[in-house]
Amino acid sequence: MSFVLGALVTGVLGSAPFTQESNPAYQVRAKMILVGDGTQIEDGVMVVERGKVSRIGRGEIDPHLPLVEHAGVLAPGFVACQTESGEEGEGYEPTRSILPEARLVHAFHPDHSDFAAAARAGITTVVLAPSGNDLVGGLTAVVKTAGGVILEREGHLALSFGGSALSQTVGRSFGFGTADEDAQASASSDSDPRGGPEDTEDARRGSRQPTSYSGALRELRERFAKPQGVYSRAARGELPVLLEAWDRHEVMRAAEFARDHRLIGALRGAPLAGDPDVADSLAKSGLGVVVGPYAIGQRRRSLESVGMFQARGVPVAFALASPEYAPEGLRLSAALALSAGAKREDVLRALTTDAAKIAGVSDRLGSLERGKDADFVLWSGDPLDLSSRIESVWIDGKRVHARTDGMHRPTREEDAGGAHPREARHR
Amino acid sequence: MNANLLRSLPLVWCLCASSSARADPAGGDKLVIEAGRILTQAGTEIENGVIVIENGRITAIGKADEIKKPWDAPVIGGPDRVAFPGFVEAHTSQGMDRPNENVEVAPFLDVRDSVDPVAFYFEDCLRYGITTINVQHGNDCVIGAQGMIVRPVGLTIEEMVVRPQYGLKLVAAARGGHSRATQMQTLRQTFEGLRRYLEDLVEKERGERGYAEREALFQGKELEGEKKKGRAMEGTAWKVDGLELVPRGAIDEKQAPLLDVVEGRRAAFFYCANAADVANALAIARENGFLAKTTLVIAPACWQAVDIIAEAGTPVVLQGPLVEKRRDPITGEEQETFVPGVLRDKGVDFALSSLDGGPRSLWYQAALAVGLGLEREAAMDAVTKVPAEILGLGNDVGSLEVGKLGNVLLFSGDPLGVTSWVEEAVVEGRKVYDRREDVRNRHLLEGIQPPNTAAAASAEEPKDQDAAAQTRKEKETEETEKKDGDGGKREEKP
Amino acid sequence: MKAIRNAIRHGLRFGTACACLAALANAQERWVVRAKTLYTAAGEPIEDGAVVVVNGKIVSVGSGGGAGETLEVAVVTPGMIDLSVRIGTREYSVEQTTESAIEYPVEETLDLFSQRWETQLESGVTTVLAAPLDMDVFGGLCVVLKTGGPRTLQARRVKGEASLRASLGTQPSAGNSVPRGSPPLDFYFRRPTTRMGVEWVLRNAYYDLLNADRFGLAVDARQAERNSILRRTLEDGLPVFVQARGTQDVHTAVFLKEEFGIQEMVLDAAAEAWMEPELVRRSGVGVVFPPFPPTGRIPDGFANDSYFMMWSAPARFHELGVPIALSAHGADEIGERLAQQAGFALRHGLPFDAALEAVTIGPARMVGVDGRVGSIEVGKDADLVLWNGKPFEPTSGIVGVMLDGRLVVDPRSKP
Repeated sequence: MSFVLGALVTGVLGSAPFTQESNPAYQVRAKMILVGDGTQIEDGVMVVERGKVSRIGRGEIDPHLPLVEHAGVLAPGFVACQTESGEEGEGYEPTRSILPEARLVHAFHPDHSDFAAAARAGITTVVLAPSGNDLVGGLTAVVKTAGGVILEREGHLALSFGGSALSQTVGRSFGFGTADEDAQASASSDSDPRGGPEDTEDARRGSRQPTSYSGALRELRERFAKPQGVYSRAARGELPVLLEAWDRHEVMRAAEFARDHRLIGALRGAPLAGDPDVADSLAKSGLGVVVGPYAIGQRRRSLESVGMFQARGVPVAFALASPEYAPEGLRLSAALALSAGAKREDVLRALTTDAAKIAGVSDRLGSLERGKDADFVLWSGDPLDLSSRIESVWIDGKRVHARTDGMHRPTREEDAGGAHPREARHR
Repeated sequence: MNANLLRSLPLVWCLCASSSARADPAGGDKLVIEAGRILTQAGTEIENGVIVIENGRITAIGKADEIKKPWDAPVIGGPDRVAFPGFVEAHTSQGMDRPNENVEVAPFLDVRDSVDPVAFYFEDCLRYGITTINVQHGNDCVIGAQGMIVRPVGLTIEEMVVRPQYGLKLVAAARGGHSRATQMQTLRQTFEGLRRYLEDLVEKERGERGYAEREALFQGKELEGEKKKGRAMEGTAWKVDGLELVPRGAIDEKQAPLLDVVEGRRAAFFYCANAADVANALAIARENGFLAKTTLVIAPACWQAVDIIAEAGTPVVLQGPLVEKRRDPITGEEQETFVPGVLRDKGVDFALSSLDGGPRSLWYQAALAVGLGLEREAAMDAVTKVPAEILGLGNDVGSLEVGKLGNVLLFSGDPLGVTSWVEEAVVEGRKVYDRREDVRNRHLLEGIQPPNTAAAASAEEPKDQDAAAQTRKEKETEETEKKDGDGGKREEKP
Repeated sequence: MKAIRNAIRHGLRFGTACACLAALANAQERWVVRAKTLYTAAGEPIEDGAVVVVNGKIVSVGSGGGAGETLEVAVVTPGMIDLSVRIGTREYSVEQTTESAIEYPVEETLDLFSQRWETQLESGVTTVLAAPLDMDVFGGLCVVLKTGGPRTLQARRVKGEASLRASLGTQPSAGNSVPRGSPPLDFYFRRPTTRMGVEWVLRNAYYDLLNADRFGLAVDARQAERNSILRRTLEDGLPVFVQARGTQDVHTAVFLKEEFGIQEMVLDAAAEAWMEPELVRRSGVGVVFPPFPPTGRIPDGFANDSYFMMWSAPARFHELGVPIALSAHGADEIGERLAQQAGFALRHGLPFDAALEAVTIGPARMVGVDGRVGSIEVGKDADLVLWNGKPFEPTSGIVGVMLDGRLVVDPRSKP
């Protein structure tokens, strides 16, 4: 009797989306399963029970469980270690520079279309981070892109070593009669590989402190000298940090600060940190690095840094920087890094397990292992091959997106954005 | 510039009043110059030499004991002097009230109306030894004014002129607000316009004899003598048949200088900012038949076009720094190119230019070029013989030889040496500069007498202080009296 | 195709590796540098001399040689030193929330990846004093560092907290204003707005120190830190470098020095110091000159004013026995760098030995690093400049530069 029922259900499965309530357990068989830790299983089977992976490996399918047959690749959902999805500008507080208690989790709107867009691009977990324009930006939140799941209310303490955290305070650019200072270092850090402060030509007069790198270090050191609240948790290694730094000298300063105060966590930015001096310094600091997002015209020197970091054992993850960058850009960043010489297994890890580690949620997800969340994506081929398509995306065992879901009816927010979700959004 | 001028007027008045650096030359029509060394720039160096100048030209040059000196000629110089031909500035836009006019195509203008005899630039020319200068319109135009060659002597234009209405300035580099395409468009259209104008004129003349002459008279031009004669068209790239029917003077003054250029009667100075401009400039010159009379005025970035320059055989004047810096887009590293070296390697004749501001003059550019690897001879030539040839004055200036103009500098040492000064300068046989009388130079070197001399300084009292500081001061004084080992640097206050 | 691409990629990497190896080869242990004339800045020039370098230090000067890679050039001088190099992260180098940013070290604001350090190094400047931008009255603590080597502060620093930076005149007060009719919007609505206000800030800082000491006032940690730094200027010989461009700024600086008893003071960019020769000589301050202005005038940049620098000022002060140094303000253009400034100094009457000292041992003494750099003497760092002619002549070229025993510019690669 149950056998007949089971077969009936199996037949129905292929066409209709099903919910966890109606099917607490099911199995997926794919031509290739990428576990996420570098291993892969051919013709593997994964059993999902109550939203978690209960079994994974080669083997027979269970005739009692509904089966999702997939002729392509099954991979863990991507983890993007920085984004401003759905924040609608909440990530930047211009009036003050030091906000240790600001929590990005309060800016989390789970129904926002940015998350749906991310999910459709295969991203199942994101880190909501402040903008990097504040010296102490606050506390990040780690959330899933569907289901409104908050994995970490206080993911990292975000600190910024970048010039943009100082540039809000600079006064008028004075017309120097004699060109005494370094007048050439004005381009943004990525296009000017020499480094140097960002262009402050149109910076407003401000009232925020500090205005100098030395001032910033002093403020941070004072707070870590006799740390309280979030600082003490960070100093004890209980709360990881997310350090923003762009120019190479800023990266060096950030790495040294982390070493001196024995902070754990990751550094965000660092496009040219593939420089051997800088990469060594980062390796010694024990920090991970969140790179990207990379664009098509990205300098080769930037792209090569991923490989250089991974060669030194520095964990790497990718940033999403949505909604400014389209969520599909995460895969593009990975593909570009691959083209510049990074190893395929390393790049995949940067999207999955290493990213989960940096996000601080590696006990729950990042790889497809027994007991971890069933966040996975069914691809038509290798996810790092840009011609592969996403067939479906599953979070906590529920299918949240399928390519065969009719024409997507745009929500009001997307209308305002004006772009069709299927097209690669270029902004 | 005006503010500077106003401030300098009292000084200029002093300069005028005294028999100073740039006063009218003293002396008659003969001059004898003695020098411990004469660097002729003609392949020879003469020890204990003598130069005899009569009526503005060198009549004798050689060793002192071999030359007969006219008994009635004043003698200047001495055994500690080094004689050198006056430097030649192949192209400059300095020395004018403003180097650029707003009109894009302005061949009817003449820099003569803009040159400022009292400009600092000409003063510095004498001070640093430039005796022949080609003044041309600036780089912010499409076709600029007619230029002129001047000597930096005299307080009126008439005294300064060596060759009036010399050369025409053309610019291939996109001027402000333009793109290269529109710049080229305007250049081509201008020459097209010339051709159409001439054809029109010929047609009207054919239709109605005397038309051109009547038009000219109507415009107030007097046609006499040569101007009344018709002219044949001598362009090598294109001609207009029947132009011989039109009298010379009847050609509109807007078009006449362009016609001179096309016919190869007038030099063309073509400014280029980068390699693409060079190709465009050479194309325009070839299309209109004036390549042979073209000199390219190039910015440092043009070194990339050196091959086509060498192929065209045009000489160049390098305007701007000797080294071009460029950032490699891939590695981000800076690349430096020594431009004169590239030109020399490809056999391109080049002259150097002085940069803004006094001491960075031709001697300095030549010296820096040597320091960067150019052979000394090539560097010296680039500021004497090559510019002389470019200006068509190869028989007059650029070296010390019999028959050439008596433009002689007397240096206190090697002309490219950093401690050498121009002590005296002679232009066409007249001494026009003497450093001992150069008030501005003295001012810079020696300054105004400091208002606070030793007497004033010792009379300085400590400022009013509150009690605390006073007491502390007394304590400090005691302490320093006890301390030793200050190296005697501190003196007690009185 | 992929194989070829990989091969090329590897080839490039190999090429880079080769270059690295070559650089390492240059970082070899023993060099013998021979010169027809060796200017040590520590005595008479040595004809046909040799400098032996081992592990980055000079081990012998004079005749001699022995094993090791040999370089032969016309002239060798010590690496040059510029105390006013003005390379920095501009506004980010100075903490503007206060005009007395005494305790902020500029070494924490440096961008060692800037190409401008390399330009300095290739033009023969091996040691510099990095200072904050002069937008505050007290800018912070300056650092002496080398212009080459690994791009870490630890590797390049020669002396941290080498001097305290101050500035007089119009620059520090530029940007400050008084709120008129509207409430103050930011911290730039403050004093000082005038020259006397600037002096007041300087004076006030010392008063705070003196009052605290005299009356035993309790001060917070920050103030205590500031006081201790200022105390070092009075007791431990921490030099105060004051930018004093105009004559009245020179007056103010010297009077402050004498009033409070600041032990070591150096006037930077002191264009008009020549107008007060006796005062300067008597006070014992050192003078760092700005680059020679071609017209004699240096515009103020903040007020409608300019400063007149007599060209023979360095020569004049040398005759008076005032310690002098020349600087090029980090100019990148050929023809304006420190070697050419020294050339102009020669032109304007400074004797050669004095000009050499003014770019080597003179500035080294001013910041107290003359035990390590500034002259070619046994035990000092192997910082050398190799020339193909008389130094500072524009017709001479720098054919080689050695920093800490590493050949940064190789004379053998030149024709």
